[in-house]
Amino acid sequence: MAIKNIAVTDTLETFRTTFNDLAANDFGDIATLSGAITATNLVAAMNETISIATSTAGWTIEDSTSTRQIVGGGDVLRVFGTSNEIEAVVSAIDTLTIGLPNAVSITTSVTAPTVSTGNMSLTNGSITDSSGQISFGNENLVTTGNITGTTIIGSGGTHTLGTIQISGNTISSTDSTQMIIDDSLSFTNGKTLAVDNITTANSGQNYVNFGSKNLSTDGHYYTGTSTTGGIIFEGSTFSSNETSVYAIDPTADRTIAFPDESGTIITTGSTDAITESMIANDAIGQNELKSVTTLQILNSSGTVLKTLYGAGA
Amino acid sequence: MSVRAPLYNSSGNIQEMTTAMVDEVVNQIVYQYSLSPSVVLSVVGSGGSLDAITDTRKQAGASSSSATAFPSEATTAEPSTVTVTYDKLTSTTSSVSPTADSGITWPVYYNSSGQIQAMNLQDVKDTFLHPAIDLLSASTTTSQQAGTHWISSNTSETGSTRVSATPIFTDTRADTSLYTAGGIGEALDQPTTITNYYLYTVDGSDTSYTAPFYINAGNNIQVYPEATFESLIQEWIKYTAASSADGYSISYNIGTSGSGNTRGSGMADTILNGSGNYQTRFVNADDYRAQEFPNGSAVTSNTYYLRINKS
Repeated sequence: MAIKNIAVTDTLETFRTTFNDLAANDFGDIATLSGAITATNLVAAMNETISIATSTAGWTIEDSTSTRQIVGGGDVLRVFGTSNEIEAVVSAIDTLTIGLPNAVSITTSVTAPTVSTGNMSLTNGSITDSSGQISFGNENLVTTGNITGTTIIGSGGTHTLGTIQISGNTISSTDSTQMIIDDSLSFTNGKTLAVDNITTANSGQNYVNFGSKNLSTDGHYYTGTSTTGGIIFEGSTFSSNETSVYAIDPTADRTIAFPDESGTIITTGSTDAITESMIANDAIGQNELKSVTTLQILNSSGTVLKTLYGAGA
Repeated sequence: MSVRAPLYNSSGNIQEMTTAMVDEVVNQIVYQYSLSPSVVLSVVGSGGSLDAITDTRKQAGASSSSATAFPSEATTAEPSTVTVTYDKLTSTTSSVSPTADSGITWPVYYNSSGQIQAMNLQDVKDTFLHPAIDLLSASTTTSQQAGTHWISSNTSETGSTRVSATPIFTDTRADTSLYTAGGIGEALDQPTTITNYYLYTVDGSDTSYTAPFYINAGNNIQVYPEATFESLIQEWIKYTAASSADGYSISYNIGTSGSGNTRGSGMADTILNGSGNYQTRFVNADDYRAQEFPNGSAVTSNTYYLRINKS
């Protein structure tokens, strides 16, 4: 702040700017005047201030919201705690001690790096953490109630559970493409096992054993896409000899029907197996005959009337 | 020329006929012809369709007489020739409409490609019909000429049947024994029959043969039923003999010459070759007679043959 002086010869503009600077920088903005002051001009405010200062040795208190209260001389400053949240104790000499009660009730949240205490009891049933994770360290989490959550993640060793009931319908592994059930798996009567694939465990056994049970389906039985996929019959003797049934890679949808009859299937390896009754009437053509010999019957004009086919030598 | 080897049932196998077996079939065709010949000669009284032939003989010249002396030989009439015409053979040809080739009418054979093929009509002609005609028109008169005709002077012949007791030709000559001087004024023509000639038909003989295979209506190979095959070949041999356009129709002709093979005896027309046997007769002092009788040796003036011809 410095002395502002306007000469006689100064212009009106100089006067204007000097005045404005004086008002802004020397007098101050009236809007910033303390709310404790009720005067509306500089002089009155000064007077009111002087009045307060000269009437008591008071002081002003302010909270985090910048709300202020003047504590004047003779006034009593009362400090109260909140039940189960904070407590204030006044003691000699001129001492105010603020602390937490043994039982603290926090309405919204509490922030602390470490909470060391005995038992923790929650009244509204919620523990949250802004990091999205609550760690129990290496401690066991024991409850006689239920553990309910959107996702329950476990790691490490064995998890011992009682009867498991899943409100959703999916069990999967986060670190593997295969669930290993280290025990027999049984379904109660009438329950259905719905799977897309069944394979053997890593036991070295190359088949799935259904015991003496039948394998039944109302749909189709699909074998794999490998060239060796098919059905293997062990036969009556468990040995290294099996009979495999497989399909040559189809190039279109094929249907092979088993006839409604009992009998033995004939293969290209069969010898002297086809009997007369197995061959339909009008079924044998020239192409089925070995070293086919053709005998044609012609009329007198040389027109073929009939062609006879016979097996050659 | 397509002579085929027809196929036959050889113990359940199909086999080509041998030449001998084909000949047996041909013989059967001849036999079938004999059962109903299509070219038949018959003996008629006169006016036969075949050419006429003549028999000649000598007869005595007319007798001469004189009241004073025997007429001289020079003035006595010479023997003359009597001619008798025989026109007794008529040929009748039947009109036959044989079964046409349907394509599977005839026996089958293995063609050059090893196929079984039905013979066509030309094959049948070459294999069966024409050989049968060759037999029928041969000069011999065995059963292989059955149904055809021939001439014999005998009144019966083994293996042939005389068509008629009426001779188709009689060779006569003057009977010189009948002419006597004491009988001058003899009838001029006093012949004697030298030989009668008769028309015969060769009898047929049913020979055994093996029926060939043919293609039946179901286009299957089948052995001909005997009646079917024999009826078929009879139709066609009759048609061929009567109407062949291939040079195998049968006809007969008669004469001293002609086409074809002669059949049976030549029919000799014999005649005495003398110039006359001059004889005289004294009847009384006012009746002196002379007459020349036939005399001489018998010579053949003509020999006629019945010929069978294929054309």
